[in-house]
Amino acid sequence: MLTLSAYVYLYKMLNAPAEFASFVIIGGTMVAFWSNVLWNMSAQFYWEKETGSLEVYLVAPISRMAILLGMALGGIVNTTLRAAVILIAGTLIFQVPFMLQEPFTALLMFFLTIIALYALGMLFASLFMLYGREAWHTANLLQEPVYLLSGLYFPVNYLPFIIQILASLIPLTFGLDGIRRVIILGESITDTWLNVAVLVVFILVLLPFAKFALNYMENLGKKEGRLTLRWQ
Amino acid sequence: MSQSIETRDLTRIFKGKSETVKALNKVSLSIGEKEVFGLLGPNGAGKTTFIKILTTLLLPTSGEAHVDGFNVVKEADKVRKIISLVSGGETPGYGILSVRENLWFFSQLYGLSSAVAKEKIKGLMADLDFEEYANTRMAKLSTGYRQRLNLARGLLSDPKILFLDEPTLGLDVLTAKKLRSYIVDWAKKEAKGTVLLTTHYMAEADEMCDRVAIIDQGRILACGSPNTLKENLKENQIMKVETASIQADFGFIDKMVGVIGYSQTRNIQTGTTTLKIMVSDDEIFSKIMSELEKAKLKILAVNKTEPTLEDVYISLVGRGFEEGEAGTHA
Amino acid sequence: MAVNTILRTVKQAIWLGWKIDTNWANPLVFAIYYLVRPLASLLIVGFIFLIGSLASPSGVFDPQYFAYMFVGNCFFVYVTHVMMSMSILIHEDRVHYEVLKHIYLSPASLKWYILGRALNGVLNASTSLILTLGFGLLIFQGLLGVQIPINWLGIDFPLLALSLIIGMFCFLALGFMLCGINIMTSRVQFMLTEYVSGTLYLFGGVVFLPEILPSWGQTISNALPITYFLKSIRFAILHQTSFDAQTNIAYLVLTTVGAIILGIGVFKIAEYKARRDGLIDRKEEY
Ligand SMILES: Nc1ncnc2c1ncn2[C@@H]1O[C@H](COP(=O)(O)OP(=O)(O)OP(=O)(O)O)[C@@H](O)[C@H]1O
Ligand SMILES: [Mg+2]
Repeated sequence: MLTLSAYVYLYKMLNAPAEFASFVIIGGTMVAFWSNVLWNMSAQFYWEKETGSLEVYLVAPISRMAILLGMALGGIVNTTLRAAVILIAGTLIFQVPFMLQEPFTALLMFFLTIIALYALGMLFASLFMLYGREAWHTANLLQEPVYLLSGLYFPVNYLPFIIQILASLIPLTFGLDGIRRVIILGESITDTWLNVAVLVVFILVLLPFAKFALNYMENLGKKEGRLTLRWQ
Repeated sequence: MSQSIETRDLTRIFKGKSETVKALNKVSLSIGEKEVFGLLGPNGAGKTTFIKILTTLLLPTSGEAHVDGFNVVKEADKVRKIISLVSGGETPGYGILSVRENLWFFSQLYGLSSAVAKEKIKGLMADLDFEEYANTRMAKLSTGYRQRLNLARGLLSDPKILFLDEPTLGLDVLTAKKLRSYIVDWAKKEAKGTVLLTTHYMAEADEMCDRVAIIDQGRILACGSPNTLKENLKENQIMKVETASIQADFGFIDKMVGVIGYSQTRNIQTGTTTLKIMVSDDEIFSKIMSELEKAKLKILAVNKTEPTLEDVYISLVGRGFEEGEAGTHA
Repeated sequence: MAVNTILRTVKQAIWLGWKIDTNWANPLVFAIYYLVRPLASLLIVGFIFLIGSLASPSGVFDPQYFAYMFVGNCFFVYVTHVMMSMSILIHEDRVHYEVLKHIYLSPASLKWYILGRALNGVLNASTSLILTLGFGLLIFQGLLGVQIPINWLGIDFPLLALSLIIGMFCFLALGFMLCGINIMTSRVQFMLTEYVSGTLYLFGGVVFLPEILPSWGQTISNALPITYFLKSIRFAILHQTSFDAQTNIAYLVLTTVGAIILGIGVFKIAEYKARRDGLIDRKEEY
């Protein structure tokens, strides 16, 4: 939120059109969810591992995905609140313009993005499960680069083409683009169907893959006896 | 004899959200120089709390404590220079550093010069038998070797007073024995080596300590040499009864007149329970035996035993240290 | 206490910090780690700047402002870095390594050890700064052809050095404050870092002129040493605007003294509470 405001002020100082401020604020709102995925869900496995309670979970006959979902849901109330604060406060403080025409499209886009993000989070969780500290560092490391690539704070289409391709590998990029177009520019589902389609594809690919990765990592972990190893 | 550790009415209260725990209740103890002193008590008795206050990690709620004449509250700096603390079950150190590097790190924090530090580290690793692991990362050590490292760290600074909080927790019989005898030797050898150790292993206290204090629920119940404490029990009778059940409820024994206390040790593997019953007079035994028979319990063996520290504890508290004691009599 | 022991403690702490930081990866990855985050953050503001300028009604790109932002964002790495390492420190040493109480009981005690670890953080941040500056220039000036008006020969090195030295005291004070808060609390280390560094980023005039903040924001900005630190650094490097370097340094010193008092104060309170409540070896952090 604080960094966010700094970016808004930077746009302001540059005399950029007001849409850019809306752009940043919507970006910030989505970051809240992204952080939840990364830190509450993926990193949760890491915390549990640290405290030794991961074992307990793994012994329980519940699917790993259910556990992860539970963890994410635990944080989602908080996250939603946080996101709402960012959205409302940002809108009020900076008086950014919105031209929302189709709220349902916006919601659809929003939920698809969230699901895609959570699928990605599960994938990360499998890494956290095994690599604890390294994965933690990597996630930490990737924070700003992901912000950069997914165009949280500026339209990606200004970026060089190569980078745009790289950026399109992150579901956040498409979701964000879609949500913004619907909310800020007042576009309709017919303009943004491509975003919806891409998000659906992401979900269809990521979910099974995440499931596979979780199982794979768990087995690997058991084989190498690393699941219960604490950070060194 | 000058006193190494002296406490007067030492009390510590923990205020929780819902409950208040009196972890130490007016503890007054004097421990002399070069003494190996044991604090014996069950989980939650207040042993760690006592050590934490004396090592300046925790403030007392009331009462006074002096370590080598220094007030632990007001002269914490001075106390810290002459003590060291080794906690069992803990493995302080950086997993990413080698054993030698870990020791080196602490030797520097303790202010040893390079030459002295190298010498000491070498000596301690040789004495405690883990030279071969000098260049191994600590993360790769087994619990036993981590504990040796932990003890070596505690001895690096040549402390006048060594605080050991359950030093053999989780160690196998052999390693535990080795560390115990090393500690006792250390105290003998050092010009001013005082040891205060806490434990809930009876045998450990018996084997190592010049004097033992028995603590329960924050109170000191008895204090003296292991032999004196056992002597005091001579007029009581102690009987060991082995029964072929691991489920029976022996609570009734406690309620009988003349029973001072009893303990039970369940052995899951053999499916037996060993009862240790202390009574003030022989006749009660026959009553107990008939009660046991009434309960249709098969009795495998009965014999009289000499008092141990456990019995001292039973006589004071009326119960034993519950299960899990079997096998700890190393 | 022997100065010798203190020096040994500080030295060991720096060495240890280095060992821990470089442990989990080989030096190359380590360097990347110190480059990637600050560089990505620099690129974000850089792109915001370029895109914002393009989209503005005048469509003019102001290289002076760009340089302002560039330098500000690069040097802010000191704050993020020292904060990050100081904030995790207590938690790691207390819960993972279980060494905190033994360090606390050593003659030099926590403060000198923490100082050493903080100094290690400052050293790492300096490495990071140099890398980010280099790559930032390479990308913006080399790749994207953005002119950044920095006259490398015209840098006022004495002023730069002076600002860095005073600034260092400020970062260390901040580090002690964070350590203090972390001793008293548990598991807030990440949030804390985020909020404190976010506040400093917003109000410290890192990427935009504090003058466009609302008046209460400017008041906060004026109270932060980081504002004067960056002003001083910028003046030394860019020589922009008419500027009274001496007054600015005076403010920097003043606010830094304030930060030091705050840092030491919080740390002292934490040390007291830690002894009162037995927090130095608290295990149940979760
Ligand atoms: N920081 C604390 N806050 C609240 N209560 C505490 C705290 N530390 C200890 N206690 C309580 O004080 C009592 C004594 O604890 P202490 O750790 O001293 O026991 P102990 O004899 O060392 O036990 P153990 O054999 O389990 O180590 C216990 O009831 C414990 O719950
Ligand atoms: Mg204890």
